[in-house]
Amino acid sequence: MATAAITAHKLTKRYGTAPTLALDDLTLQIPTGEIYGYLGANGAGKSTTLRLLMNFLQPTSGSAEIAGLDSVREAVDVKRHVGYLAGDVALYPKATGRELLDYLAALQGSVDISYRRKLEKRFEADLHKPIETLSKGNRQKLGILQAFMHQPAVLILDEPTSGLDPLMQEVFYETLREYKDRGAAVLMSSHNLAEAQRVCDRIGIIKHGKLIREQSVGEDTELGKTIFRVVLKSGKQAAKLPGLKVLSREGHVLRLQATGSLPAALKTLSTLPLADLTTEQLNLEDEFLEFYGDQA
Amino acid sequence: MKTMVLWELRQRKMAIFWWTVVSLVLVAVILGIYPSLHHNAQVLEKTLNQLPNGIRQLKNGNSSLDVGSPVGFLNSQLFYITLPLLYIILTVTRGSALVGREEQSHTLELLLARPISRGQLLAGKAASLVLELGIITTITTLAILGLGHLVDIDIAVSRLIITSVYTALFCLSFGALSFALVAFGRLTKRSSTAIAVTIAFGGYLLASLSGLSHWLVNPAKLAPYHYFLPVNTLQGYAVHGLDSYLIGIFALTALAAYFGFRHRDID
Repeated sequence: MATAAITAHKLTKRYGTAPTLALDDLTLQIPTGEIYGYLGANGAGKSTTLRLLMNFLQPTSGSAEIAGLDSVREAVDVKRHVGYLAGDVALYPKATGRELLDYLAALQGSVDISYRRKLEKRFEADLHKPIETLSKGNRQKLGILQAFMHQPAVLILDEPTSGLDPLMQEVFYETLREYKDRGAAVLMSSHNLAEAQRVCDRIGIIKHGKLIREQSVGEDTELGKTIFRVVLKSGKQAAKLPGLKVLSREGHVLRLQATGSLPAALKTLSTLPLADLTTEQLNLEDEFLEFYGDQA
Repeated sequence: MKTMVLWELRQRKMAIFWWTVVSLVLVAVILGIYPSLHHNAQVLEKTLNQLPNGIRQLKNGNSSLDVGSPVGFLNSQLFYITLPLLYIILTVTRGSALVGREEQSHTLELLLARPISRGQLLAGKAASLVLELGIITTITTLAILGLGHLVDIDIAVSRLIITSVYTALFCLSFGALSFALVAFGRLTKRSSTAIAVTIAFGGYLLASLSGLSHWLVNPAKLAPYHYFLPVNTLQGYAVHGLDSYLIGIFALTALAAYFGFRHRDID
């Protein structure tokens, strides 16, 4: 595994005297060159995690490191290496996009102006109007630009494609892939499961402040494996189904997943009294629903 | 820090303009009545000095209402209440908004995502408030000098400048208080403004009314206004009590803001 660019060790957060923890013992490692999708329902603790990593919140216990630097003690140095995009990005309404980016670039230092211009062009950012007159999507573009303009080694992004149209989402994914190829580590929260499945190398699911599942997103993983939805002519069926795992059963309808080779699974299926057979792919949504149940 | 200060001033340019206009209008109107007051000074002073002591002190912090002389007029009509009223409202609202508004609108995260320490952020914000008040005070002082010359207010320029600086610093102390209360993080923008305004104007009433009741004399010493007597600087006297208050309040608020803000959660 490459060097960890983001590390959290038993990171915990309790707000004031709240009875429950907003983040509970989070241990996480994101290596360089990885895009990590952070999924969870509203209030699960996604933004709390990102804000703890940025030192906007003080951990109740535990620690975090970004680019090898302690997120609390070396917070200022950490920010040289990080690009951060808040969920529902807040900008100065009276300023123009150009003024805002000039200001933030001056505070950031070491911003390559030619790269910044390239990004502005790529995202077709409207830089001349006051921000208060811009649409949500155009404000989001400015949020993305300010996070990427100094070419950080670590990106912490809270629902980055929120408000972007599909074309701009593609531009964003392309930019993200460039950063990944350059060895940047990306931690992005998302509600968009299809997006996470498409863009991320690995995903983590958080529920009630606890990281309950981590999973790689690749062809050799559970995700992407074929699911068979079969309708049986009768309730009778073999007790054992070699090469298949039963995911669910409702009357005559079964959802089965191939556990080994496809031919072996088909051989078993051919022995069943089939009335109908359709296939589907196991996706993140299934994973997510499996953990969240009715809440998701 | 320079970047942040320039940004703040640029964002505030119209507000600074209008605060300056209001300040200049007040100065012009007040100095405009000086010639007629000066001509009728004896009659007016006799009438005013028949008012109860407490009422006289409300006007200028001094038991004697000398509105006919340049020093008495500037003290009672401009420096004791009119300009402080304006500047305190400005500094207290700005002081609480500098961090409070940014925190409320979540733009503070944009700044804290940059490689600047929280201390630097506070220093930049505080410096912008000092400069904003400095600009308004400088223009207002120049106007007092210019208009004062026109209406024959004969007073040493240095004393007028010193009094202006002390007035601005005194008002800034309340801005520093509201700034520190928000930065410390336990109070909202609105409640910190309310506390600072209460201390400022409650203190003004307490200090002014202490002449009416003997039992108010000692509590009045806790009020900042007790130490603010522009008549002294206009007459060229030292103001050690005010010096001590200003040093104390600025040190205290700077420490409270820094240590409170350094490790607190950002809302």
